[in-house]
Amino acid sequence: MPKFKKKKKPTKKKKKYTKKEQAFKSVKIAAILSGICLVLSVLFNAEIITFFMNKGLKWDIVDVTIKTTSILLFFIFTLISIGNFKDITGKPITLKEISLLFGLSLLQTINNLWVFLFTLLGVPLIVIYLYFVQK
Amino acid sequence: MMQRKAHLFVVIFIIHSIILVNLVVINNNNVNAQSDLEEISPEFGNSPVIDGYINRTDEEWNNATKTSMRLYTNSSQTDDGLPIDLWILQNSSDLYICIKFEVNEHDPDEYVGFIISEDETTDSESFRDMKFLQFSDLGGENQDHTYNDSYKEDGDFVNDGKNDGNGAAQLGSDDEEITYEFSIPINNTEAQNDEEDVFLDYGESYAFRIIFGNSDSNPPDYFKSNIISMKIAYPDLPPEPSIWETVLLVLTIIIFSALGALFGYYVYLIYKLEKRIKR
Repeated sequence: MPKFKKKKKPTKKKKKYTKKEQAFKSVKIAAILSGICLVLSVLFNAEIITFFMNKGLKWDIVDVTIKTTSILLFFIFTLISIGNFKDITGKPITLKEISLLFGLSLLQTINNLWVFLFTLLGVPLIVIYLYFVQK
Repeated sequence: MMQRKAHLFVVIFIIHSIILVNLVVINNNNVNAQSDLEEISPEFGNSPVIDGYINRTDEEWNNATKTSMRLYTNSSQTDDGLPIDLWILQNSSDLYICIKFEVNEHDPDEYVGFIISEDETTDSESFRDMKFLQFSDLGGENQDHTYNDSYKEDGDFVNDGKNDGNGAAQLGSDDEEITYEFSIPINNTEAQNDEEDVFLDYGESYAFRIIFGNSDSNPPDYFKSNIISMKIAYPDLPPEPSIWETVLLVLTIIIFSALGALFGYYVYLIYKLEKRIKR
């Protein structure tokens, strides 16, 4: 028999979140990620950082990839955040809001035709994907 | 009567033709006097070291505009002239001139330089800024040289208060070939305000009288010379943004500012929602 009884560590009680709180947490996280992507998009798409530009084809591809990815991720996270936000407030996200977000995403591509084309292609694909995922 | 009139017409026609031909010839001569000047547009390049030595390993003078010409006695072309190689280079701050030639025997008091005209005109009054390199005891034990900058005052050249530019020369090992190197400031704001130097402005052409002599006097009377026209090129400045680029820049600022503002508003809405949930 063991001489000492092993002390049981007091277990932290997991805080139970309500559905609303969980949804709100998701709103916040998605908004933070969306903000980070927006900052990245501003830096690259507003051509504040031009490190990869005009250094040859390889670097141009890297540049366009960073720009497009930052916009598409901004779109995804903002859409998730707004979707959950609307869910909490009891209203579904409307087509008007998705279109506005689509427009805002396209506006960020003002300086680069390739980024515009890839974003134009990517955003509807994301919308279709999210639509089917929800279904 | 008709015959007399015809004779008179022929005489007037001949006189008219002679006058016309003369006018055309005189005009042509004037045009030739101007266009005879060889215009040189210097190439842009790295500034060479002004030491009279062309450093091939450093690719000095590699980008220079290179030409050959002859210097004639009193500008007349009756003698064979002294053949010289002329290399000219510029950057945004200086004009660099290299003069290389060969003579069997150098005078101990040899000098080479140039007199710069106020503009493209080649009348003697316009040449008012002289820069030259004066040797003393060239090829001898006490060989030395000085760079001189002088200007014309009341028809005579007098030394500048300050020497603008630089010059150096080196005699080759064969004691025949010699290389002179000069640098002259371009777009020098000091020269713009004083009477001593010609202000070499971007985009303008200036007549340069290249002089070669052996007088000991300072400033010397040149005895072999020739004139070239030098066009000072604009430095490679970044191009002005077009209207489209400006519009694009403004739009970019507006779009991203609006996006930032909208995102800020969304964060505010989230904050309000959080408060509502807590309640």
